[in-house]
Amino acid sequence: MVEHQLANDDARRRQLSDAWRTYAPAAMRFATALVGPTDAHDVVTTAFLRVTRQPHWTSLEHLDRYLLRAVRNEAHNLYRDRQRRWQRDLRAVIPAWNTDPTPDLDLLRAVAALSVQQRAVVFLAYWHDMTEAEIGETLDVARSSVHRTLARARVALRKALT
Amino acid sequence: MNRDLDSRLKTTFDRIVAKTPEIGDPPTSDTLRLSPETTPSSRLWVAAAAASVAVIGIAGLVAIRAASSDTSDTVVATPPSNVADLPAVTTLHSVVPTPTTVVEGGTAVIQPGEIVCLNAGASEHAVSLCVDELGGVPLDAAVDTDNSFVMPVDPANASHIAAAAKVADALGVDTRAFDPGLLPLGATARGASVYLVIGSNDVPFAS
Repeated sequence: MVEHQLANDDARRRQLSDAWRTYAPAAMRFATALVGPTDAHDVVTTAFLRVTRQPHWTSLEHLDRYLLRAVRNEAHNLYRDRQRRWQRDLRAVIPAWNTDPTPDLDLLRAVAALSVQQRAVVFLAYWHDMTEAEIGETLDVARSSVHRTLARARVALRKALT
Repeated sequence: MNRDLDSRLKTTFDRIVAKTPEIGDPPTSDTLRLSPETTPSSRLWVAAAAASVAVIGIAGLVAIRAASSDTSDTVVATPPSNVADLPAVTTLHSVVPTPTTVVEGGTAVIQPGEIVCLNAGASEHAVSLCVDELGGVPLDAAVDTDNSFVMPVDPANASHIAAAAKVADALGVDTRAFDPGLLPLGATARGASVYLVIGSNDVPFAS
């Protein structure tokens, strides 16, 4: 009985470890784009625990998308708790400014001023080169909503840069 | 413009992603959580509490209506004869909020994004206070200074000069002429109007 329990625990640990190694890097990049490098690890960790505490998480289809959505939700929670999003994000990239001769401060500021959802959509569109349909599937929102969010984000970014 | 924005966005996200932390070991259930988990049982408690409040509220309303209908025909207010006229005494408890941002007349003197916190040898603590409390954008200066002061972002812009004077007055630091030698190569501060050069004395954030 005890041996059976130990074997189960061991299998579960292995599953968690495999899932973490497979999906955490992309989730960590996504979280870094949403909340900055300082909070990214905490956000991904919390999201991962939420997902893997569900009883049948191993049979979830598209666990990668599921985790990204959980990261997005955690980022929302974090921003609700702290109302200083753009300051923190800009502060988070301070080390890069010392070595980067041409920091695009205006764009950094504009990106940091976007909402979590807008930034998630913009990141997936521009950095992952995802289509609007793919973004909709990843974040579990309608394609039309993605289109609107992306359009509003572009307007906000252009406005901030002029 | 579109192509320019696209490429700049990619570059910006490249910079941000380059700061992605290592994933480390898989988290365990002992790992600290950012926010408490909402469990089905806690949701049940919230629902039960809300239902109780609603029931009590409805019962109260019914009671008030019943009471008012019972006495509507016989309401005669007669003050007791032995009550002296007492002056009304009101104790005022004025609550004075502690400002975390410099404000004047209900409007923030320093708007978020108006200031660039130019770190010229200041402590990390001072720079983070500049960012958190004044909504400043942090930037490392090319050279260090001993004392803190402000200077306009654009020395030819009258509003920047006025803003620098306003910020200097609010923070109790000197105003100096624009000195491009303090700025790192290629840094732009479009949107901001004032450089708050924080020297090694950490003024105005010295503890």
